[in-house]
Amino acid sequence: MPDLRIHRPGPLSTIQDRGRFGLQALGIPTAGAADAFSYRLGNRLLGNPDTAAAIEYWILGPEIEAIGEPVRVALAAGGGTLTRAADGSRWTMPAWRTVTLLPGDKIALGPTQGGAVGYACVAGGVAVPEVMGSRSTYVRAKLGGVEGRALKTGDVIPVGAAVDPAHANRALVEVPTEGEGPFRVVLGPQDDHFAAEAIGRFFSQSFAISPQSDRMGKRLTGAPLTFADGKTADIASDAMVAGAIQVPGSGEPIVMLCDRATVGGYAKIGVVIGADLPRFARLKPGAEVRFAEVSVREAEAAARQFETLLSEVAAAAVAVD
Amino acid sequence: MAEAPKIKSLGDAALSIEFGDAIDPEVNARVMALFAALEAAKAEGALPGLSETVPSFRALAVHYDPLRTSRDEIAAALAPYILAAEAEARVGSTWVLPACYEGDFAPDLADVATRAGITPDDVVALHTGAEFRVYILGFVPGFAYLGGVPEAIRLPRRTDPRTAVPAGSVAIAGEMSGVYPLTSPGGWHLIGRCPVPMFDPKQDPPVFLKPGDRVKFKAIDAAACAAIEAQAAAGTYDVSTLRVEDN
Repeated sequence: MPDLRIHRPGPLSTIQDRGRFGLQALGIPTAGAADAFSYRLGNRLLGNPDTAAAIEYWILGPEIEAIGEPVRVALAAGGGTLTRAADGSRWTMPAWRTVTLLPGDKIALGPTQGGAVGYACVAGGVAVPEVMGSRSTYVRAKLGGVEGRALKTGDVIPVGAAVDPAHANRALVEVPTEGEGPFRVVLGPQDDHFAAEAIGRFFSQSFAISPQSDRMGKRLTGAPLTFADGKTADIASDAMVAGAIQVPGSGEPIVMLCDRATVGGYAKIGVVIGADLPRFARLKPGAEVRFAEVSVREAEAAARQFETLLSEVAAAAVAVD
Repeated sequence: MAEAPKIKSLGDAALSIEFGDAIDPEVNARVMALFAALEAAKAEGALPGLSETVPSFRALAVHYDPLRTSRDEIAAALAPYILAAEAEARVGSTWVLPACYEGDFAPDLADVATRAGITPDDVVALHTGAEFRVYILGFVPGFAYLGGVPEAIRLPRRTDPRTAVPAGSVAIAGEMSGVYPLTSPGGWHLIGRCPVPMFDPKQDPPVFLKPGDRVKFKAIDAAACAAIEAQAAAGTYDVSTLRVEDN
């Protein structure tokens, strides 16, 4: 089996898969890929299962070198600069294609295109040991990935056996998109903590993504929301889900992402629906966002459309050298 | 008669079943009864599409896969379990956790005592004299919310939260006490250090406390604390010795 050696790791590069599920009752966050659309699509370009572990990076990724055997890599949501070991030639590779690294070949990943997060998926998946059912890195508790931490120079990470080693390299002809427009939200469970006027404003005004954003959550800045008479931001802590929109006393919302704490003590005005969460997670600081209310039924239909879109985009990939 | 639970949407892939608004042992026991019933049903392959349940003080979050089921379908399937969820008097284990309430381990002890109008020794006596109930595990891996801080030392959270509370810190805020399993930000008052590993991914289960368990604290000196820390670091510390025999 080949390995990958990490050179110049980038600001925050970690191993992630779909996430660590079934342990939130013990306080263990799910972690997992922040942008499930890009991550899953990268895996599909390789013929991997959707759950194969990949390298996630923010803005700039590591430079990775194939060791021992060739490694097929998918460049999802960010391209890279390839250096061939044989002749030292350098090639600029666009995002949304796969490339075969021969032993000694290196590719410097990034910058990300269109968003803040990118993935290098590898045929066979990153094969670090599973910890409690997942390879996802959760840095705060030092779980998963490489020693539970972000990647650093000199790390050598194992690659698993590819499902179909003869799989050709493939590329998307167009940059994939899940569409634009406001981020769809299902109200609740604590929408009754907010003044009716504040709920109206939540869906009509715009917010900006704060630089104080990470894998735990994104803070939003904008005109603060107000609470209903006799209600405050505080609740007896309850479970948080990915996309939950907590509003602390300041009135400025925080959208919770994959490394969120399992419970939280602030009222949740609503939850960003699953189909819109990947494109929310990849927003850069300063981006302007708006929200739109949808019913649970509409959100369920959107979840099915998301799966259809993912399959259609992956099926449209063409063979490349 | 207990209030009928409310079912609320928690996005498009989870429901929140709320048994009340406040922190109350009876309400929490109903949450835990439903949690146990749904985990058992899931283990038997009932409730297709249900993926994970997460209990908290007064609500149970039920995660499901919207591609395999729907909110209406899962809510209908859950209804009989919700109706049957009676507060069971689960007899939890009782644990005695060693804690050192001295020096640098207790940076807020003097302040807590001053604000309560008592001596630091009184604070320690109140904390070690109390029996706490494990309500939930959450916030970070292995953090147990321990309800039952005596009235005299119930204080609101600090106005200036620390960015890094050391792992093992024994803390209080309002009616809750807890032991920080990992170095993490925190706004609670730090009154001691518990050298016992509260979260150990190498153990199964990685967290030994369970909701419904009882916890008491026992004061130890710095030398005893260091000795346990050394055993924990070497992986030779046996947490089961902290469990009090039920009788």
